Amino acid sequence: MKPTSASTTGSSRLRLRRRDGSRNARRGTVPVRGLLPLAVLLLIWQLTGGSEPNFPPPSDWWSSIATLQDEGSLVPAIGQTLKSFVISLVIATVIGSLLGFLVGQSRITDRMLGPTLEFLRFTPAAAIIPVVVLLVGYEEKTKVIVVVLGSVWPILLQMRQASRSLSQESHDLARSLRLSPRQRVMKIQAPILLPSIVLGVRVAAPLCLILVLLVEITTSVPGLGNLMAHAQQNFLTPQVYGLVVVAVVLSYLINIAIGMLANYTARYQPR
Amino acid sequence: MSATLTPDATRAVPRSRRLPALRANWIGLSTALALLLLWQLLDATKVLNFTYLPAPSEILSAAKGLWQEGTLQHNLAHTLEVAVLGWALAAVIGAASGFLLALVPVLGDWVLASCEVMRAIPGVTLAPLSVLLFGFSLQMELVLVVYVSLWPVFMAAYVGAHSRDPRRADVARSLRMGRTAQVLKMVAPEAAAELFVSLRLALAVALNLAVLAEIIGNPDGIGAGLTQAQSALQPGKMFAYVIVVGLLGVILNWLLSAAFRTLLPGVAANLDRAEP
Repeated sequence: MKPTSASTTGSSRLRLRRRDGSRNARRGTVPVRGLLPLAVLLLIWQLTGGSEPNFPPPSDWWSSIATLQDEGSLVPAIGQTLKSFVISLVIATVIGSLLGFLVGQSRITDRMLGPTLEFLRFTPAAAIIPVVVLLVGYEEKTKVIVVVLGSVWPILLQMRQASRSLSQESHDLARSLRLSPRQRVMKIQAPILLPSIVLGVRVAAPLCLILVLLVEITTSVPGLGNLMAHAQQNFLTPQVYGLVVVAVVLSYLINIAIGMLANYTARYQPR
Repeated sequence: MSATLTPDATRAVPRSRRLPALRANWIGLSTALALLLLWQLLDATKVLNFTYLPAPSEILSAAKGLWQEGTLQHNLAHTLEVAVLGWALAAVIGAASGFLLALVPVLGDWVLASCEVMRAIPGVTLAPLSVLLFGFSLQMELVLVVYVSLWPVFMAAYVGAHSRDPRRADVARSLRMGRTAQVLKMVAPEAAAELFVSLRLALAVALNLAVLAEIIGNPDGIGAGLTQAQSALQPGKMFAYVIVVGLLGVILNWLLSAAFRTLLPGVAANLDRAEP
């Protein structure tokens, strides 16, 4: 946005404050004091809880998680969940980028595959699970298939968009610069497409984790979600609460990791 | 409302006003049909050889059977009811609280971080918890659906109402608009596009969570039908349910888009160009 000369020095402070409120800057500036209501709630919960079996106090959550850790089942479960997460995200990224590129490049492919992809996209992942279980069995593969099917879409859609814009820009530019095919990919296509893939992955990553947990909860494939389903079936309420907190921490860490990865790739964007 | 119409958007309106049905994608539909035929063919020639993969014809007859029993309609109605009701509740609660926090900065400062933490809870992990708290009931399903599909709408309302163009405020001041007029004529239309995208997302989430809740334990609905068919080893019925619920998702999304186009053509046209 171009600051007009009309907005004089008097309003510059105002403008600065408002720019803080803009979407990009806002994320980092959520005031920490906003955590107070949650902290107070948890404190009250801790002090008054205990009698009601459905609402065990937070200290019980902690001790039940510590029990799981002592049994030695927590860390392997997290490891399994993370492993499926990484494998699925990589596969989803590859498939999503390739398919998105293809669909974005040609209008006819787009129209041909459109309804089929649309249908797959709106089929709830939860509904696919029983079917895949029946076809493949309770295996690691089941997790990966369902998760890829559910999390490929953000990447695919981002890539389709980028790929569309590419076909007009790059074609003329590459021809007039007489670039070799390799140069065309490295100097024009990759820099244009990479940020879109990264953006797609950023959206897909939380979805991916959710889907991994989803499959683990509904099937008996080992992982964090399976521990949760197990705790629920045995009415270990504090453990369920504790595992929810573990999942929150995990998703938070994954978000940070993906953000770092995104910043890392951003350094390779040419101006 | 006209405040949101950039010249570009106004030009794009007539195209988007055409009913989507008139622009049916025949190539795409015939491709889908061809894929189904291929599947049938591969199955008939035993190239696709999974023990439990039914041919499309089997799926169709299974669906017909379910329809005649009346279970398909029953389950479909249940899932539809839960998903739509949950979605509507989530939309109202999410939009109202998002706007409130954005328009009352003090409140936002003191509450938003807590909301961010609550939002970070992966929705599906609440399913086992919800089963413990509410048992296998409609309430359990609804709570789960509402809680999870609330957050996209909340964030969109908050961000949409929060990130106004600074020049708009100057315009409002020079037009001497009151607080209410500003909210109605500037903030709401500005947030509308963002809100709509989130509503679409929330609808998909709601449908997903409804099916999940039914799979985990509710005796009604498409998810329950799926698990019953699974334990009875009836892949034809399972695929029938999956296809029905997929189509339901497509149709709901299409209806929402159509409603949005009719209600707010300007914003919708802007959005169409941004993400088709």
